[in-house]
Amino acid sequence: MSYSIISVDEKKCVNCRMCEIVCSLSREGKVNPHLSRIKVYSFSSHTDVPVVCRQCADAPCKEACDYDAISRRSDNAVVVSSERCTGCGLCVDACPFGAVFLHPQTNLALMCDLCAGEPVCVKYCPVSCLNFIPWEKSIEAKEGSEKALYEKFAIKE
Amino acid sequence: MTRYGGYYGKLLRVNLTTGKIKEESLPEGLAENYIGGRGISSKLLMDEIEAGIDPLGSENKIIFITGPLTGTVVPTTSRLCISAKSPLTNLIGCGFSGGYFGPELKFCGWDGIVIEGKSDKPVYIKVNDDKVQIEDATHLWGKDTFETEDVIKKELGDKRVQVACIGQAGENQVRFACVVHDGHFLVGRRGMGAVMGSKNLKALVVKGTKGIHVASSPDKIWQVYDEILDIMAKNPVVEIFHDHGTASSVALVNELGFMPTRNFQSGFFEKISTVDEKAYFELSLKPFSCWGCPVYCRRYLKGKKVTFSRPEHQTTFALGSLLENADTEEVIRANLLCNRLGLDSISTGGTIAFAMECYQRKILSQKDTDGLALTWGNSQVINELIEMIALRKGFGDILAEGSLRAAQKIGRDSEKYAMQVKGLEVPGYDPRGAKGIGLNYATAPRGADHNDGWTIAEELYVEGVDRLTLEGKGKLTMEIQDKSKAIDSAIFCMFALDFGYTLDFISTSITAITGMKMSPEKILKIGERISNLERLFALREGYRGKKDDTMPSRFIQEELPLGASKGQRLDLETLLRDYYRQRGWDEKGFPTERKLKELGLESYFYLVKSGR
Repeated sequence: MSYSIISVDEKKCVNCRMCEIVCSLSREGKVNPHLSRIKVYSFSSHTDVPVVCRQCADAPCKEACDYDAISRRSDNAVVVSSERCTGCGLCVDACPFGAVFLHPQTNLALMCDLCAGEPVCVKYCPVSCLNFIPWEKSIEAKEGSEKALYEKFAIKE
Repeated sequence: MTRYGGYYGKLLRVNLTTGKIKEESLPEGLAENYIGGRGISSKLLMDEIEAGIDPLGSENKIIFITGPLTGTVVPTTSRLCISAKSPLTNLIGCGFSGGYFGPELKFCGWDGIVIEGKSDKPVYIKVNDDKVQIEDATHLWGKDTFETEDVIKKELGDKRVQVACIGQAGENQVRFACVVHDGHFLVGRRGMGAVMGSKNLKALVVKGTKGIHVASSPDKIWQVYDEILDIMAKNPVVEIFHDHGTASSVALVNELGFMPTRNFQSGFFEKISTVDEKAYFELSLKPFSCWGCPVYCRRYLKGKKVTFSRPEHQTTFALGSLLENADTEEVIRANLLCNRLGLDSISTGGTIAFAMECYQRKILSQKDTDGLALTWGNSQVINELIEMIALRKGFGDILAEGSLRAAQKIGRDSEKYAMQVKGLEVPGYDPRGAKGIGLNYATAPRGADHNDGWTIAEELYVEGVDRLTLEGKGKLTMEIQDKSKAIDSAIFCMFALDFGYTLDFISTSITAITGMKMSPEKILKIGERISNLERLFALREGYRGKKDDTMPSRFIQEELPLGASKGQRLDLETLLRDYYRQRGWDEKGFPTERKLKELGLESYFYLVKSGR
């Protein structure tokens, strides 16, 4: 099945954090980067990497969850049920990309659900570093394992 | 107070002598009359500190503050304001930086932090929402700003805290030491780093998880956001800033003959082509940005010897043309050194240029300079001096006082080569080549600061505004000074108006966020109030109106020797007469009682009476 992901071309990122700003405003009703489901990490090598759910086929977060709180929606997005989530953090540990967070106030799992098909971060990214496109056309697919890309930056340390 | 959006209505007060931490309400009336940032901090300093205190003594207070728009979607509002009485000028010392610190401070749930007293050992202050702690910083003392930030983040095990810290220059109370955030974002001028150092305060570390309540519906906020992003996307200055940032004016200012060269002995730098925007762009690695800004005007450069951010126009001047330093990578390296050690590049360059001219004129010899030959363009000597200043080593200890105090110490008629106003070194536009900026240097309430009234925006780029004419410059300078005060209070980037914002749209955004009804007229009035309040602060510190609205004699007596502004001098007398009239001040440069009443500042009129 073809599905789309938020493809990240980290070489274009200028670290403006507009993705974090619009994500938190649109989903949490207030601007705060810690409430965002996409987060930009900066490294001393002058590299900035937006980290966001990859909607993995094997979804390790879903596998790790003991409470059946994570499921796959019909559009392929991996989503969390706030009713079922207990905030145990197993999914955070399981995600190989560091793309699952805990909400700093509710302590529930916070992850990208693709804004029902129109990701607001993609719309507002001023440098087209983020693109919502079918997996086959993504830079990640072209460059091979996207996991390798993320491991390169050791975001999860 | 909390009736307005964009404010928490709360200030945090930390006393480093007693260790006492307390929450206070933002005093009534401040939001309406001073907006935030610069306006509120200047008002607090005016009312809370005594006249004549030692800026490096425990009686001084240092304020970290944001504005109502900080931490909202409105673009270019990532600014942090830090203010205290300046150890360089004895005036309001406020300065601004972009980056990520301002919004993060706001997200902690405070409009600002007032820090007073003095710790008996090095400390840093950690703010995590409502949790505020004073932490030991003994192990950080002696570290530069890059190391300090790294160590703090590692110790806390959190890459996502924001740090504003001082380097060795601040610790050693160099009078123009700055505060550095994230390596590239500086509250540069007037020694706010020295004030932190004098309090044994190494850093402020913030992380906040709150959001700010705004007055309008989400739909309205998205509409305002979309509108301004659309305007900015079409703005030609934004396009230029993507590539070159503030360095975009280097070649032009030189071509027009007012790029300060060899301590303002010339306005034309023959070797500009290796330190202009094109030279920088050839080393481009990638652009970077402040928080929430689609302009991304900063850029990393990668040379053969050094990789660091592109020097701004002001740094290109201060560490480049002013010192006849034309080596691209050496200018970048000198800037990197200043950022690491925590020095303002403008005053650093200005003070070194002063020393170099003294050396040129044999006022100083190698006997005075620890054996260094202060020849123009000698980048090795420049780098050595930068380090000696930050560490207050040998001759560096004299320069660490800034050019005015250094000249007073050196004597031998050297003071006329100290290119400063009210103690603050003159920035990178020779005032003989743009009269408005000259008038602004002479009258700005923080000393010679281009950002107090950046008339260059009009004198350089607006058709019909002649940079060399005197006519109309009083009004132009006053209006831009007042606009800037309001912009510094909201807080927008000082380039907001160049990126497509209009005063109308600035009003619209402030109204949308706060719910206070703003208009362009009201904004100018608030700006005027702040300008006058800061003038009153200067009078209280013993500045004597017109008698102290002076410029180095070079600008008034000597003609620019070559280039497109050849033959130009500054007729300050005529400019001041026009300016005071526009301001509604008397001919001696004192605000009148009528003007102060109009601005609601009549309770300070006694300062005018005693100042006269």
